[in-house]
Amino acid sequence: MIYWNADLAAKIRCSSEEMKILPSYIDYLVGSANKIAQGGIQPTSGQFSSEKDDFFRYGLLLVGEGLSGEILEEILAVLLYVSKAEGIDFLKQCIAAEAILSIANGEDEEIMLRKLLPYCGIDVALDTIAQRKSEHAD
Amino acid sequence: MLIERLAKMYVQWGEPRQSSESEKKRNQQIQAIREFLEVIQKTSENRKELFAVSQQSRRKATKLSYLLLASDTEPEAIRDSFLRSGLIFKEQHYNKPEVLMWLAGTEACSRGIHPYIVFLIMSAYCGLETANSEFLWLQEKSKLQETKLTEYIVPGDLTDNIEEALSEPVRFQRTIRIAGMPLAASAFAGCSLYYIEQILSLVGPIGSFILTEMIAAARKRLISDEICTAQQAFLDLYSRQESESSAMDKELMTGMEAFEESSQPDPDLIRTTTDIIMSAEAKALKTTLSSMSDNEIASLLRCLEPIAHERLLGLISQGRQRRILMVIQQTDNVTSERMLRDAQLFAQKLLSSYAPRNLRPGETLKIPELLRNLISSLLGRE
Repeated sequence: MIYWNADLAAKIRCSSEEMKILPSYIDYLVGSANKIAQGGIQPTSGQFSSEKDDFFRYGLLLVGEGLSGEILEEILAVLLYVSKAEGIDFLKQCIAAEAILSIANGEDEEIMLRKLLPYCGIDVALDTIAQRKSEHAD
Repeated sequence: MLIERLAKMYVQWGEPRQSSESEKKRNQQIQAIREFLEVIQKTSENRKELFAVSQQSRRKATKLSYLLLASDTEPEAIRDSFLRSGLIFKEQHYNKPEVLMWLAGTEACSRGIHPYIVFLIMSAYCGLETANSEFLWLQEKSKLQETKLTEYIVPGDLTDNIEEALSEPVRFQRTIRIAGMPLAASAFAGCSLYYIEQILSLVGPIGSFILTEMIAAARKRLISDEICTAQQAFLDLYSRQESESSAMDKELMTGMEAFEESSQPDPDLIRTTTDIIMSAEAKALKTTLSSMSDNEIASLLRCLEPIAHERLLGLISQGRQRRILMVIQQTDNVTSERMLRDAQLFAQKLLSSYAPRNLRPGETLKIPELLRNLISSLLGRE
């Protein structure tokens, strides 16, 4: 059962117009995850210093320290809980946090997309998954 | 699920009460967390010292944290103690992140989590910016720490395969995260310093320091059988992580290409390879198998009749048997060309296991006639 709370709902609320940026944001996160899956993390090379998304960058730094998904989830949930971001910015942080956990757990692109796309709304998620399936079939 | 965890926090503690904190107050808070880290590290399990520190603390939440840890309170009872103290409130009341931070830190400590990870959890309550700056501070602190490990090797599955496992660092990094540091450290406790150094370079300075401390603790706490079990568990997890390269190889061979290459196994090849296994000496076979990877043995098993499977598997440990069977399950059909290559590779290795180290030029290998002919016939196939 997923608990729900009016304060959280208010904090996460954003318009469908604002949510249009989410699929490309998810593409970006998935692309970064693929790069990491192929090349790994070089912990002392400043690999993520050019990452502009502060939340995502911090999560990747934690992954680079070898922390488990369980510990990461605890830290990321706290960061989201105290986050001052609202609306679409907060929603993006939630998606980035899920992406960080997927990277830490070594999940493949398909599983990652199934976790991230529902944040765009069920219609967009289903459409995107169907579109990807038909592309693979071709 | 992360969003579920977040929703639970909102339901349990309400929306965090955001206060316009001054720079001074924020610095005090950070200082208190750093002190907490120092005290936990220094006092370790010394209750008297923790009690003494609690008496010096002025802030209620901090004092309560030290007191609870000094009295060795069970993790489940810590939340109750905080609730009873009136510092936090259940359900929808607006709680102060600072107090929740002390609750989380105390709970994490009592669960036996490493002080550095406790620090990362606590600093997250101060927000992303502070968490990030404190992370960098902790990284620098970790670099200065000196925990020296001594040479200590426990033979086991991981020590046998560590070189091969480390040849795929991305997969190794992922296994450390999936196994979690306590299991990983218990497994690494039996590895030589040479390999431990390589392993530690796969994680950042904080992770490296935590692993080093945990390895040292595991060596004191665990007997060699337990380290062996941890090694087996870690290697099982490693085997389950499909390497990116093999996944990409599979993707590349699609459609007609795969169809054209796949064909029925050659019965003559299977018969010859089986005869080799049945005729070779157990000692030479054992030496050969120890020089082969799990993937290579799995490939070899595909070129054998069941009677040879039994002989081959009887020569390796149960843990390795399980890993090899797992590799077979995860691998798709293999082409006859690949089977021939795998069988030939095995024959070459078997041949070299018969060769003494001081073999003189012109001297022949002491291999039974039948086996020599079988190996020649296999290596001569195209």
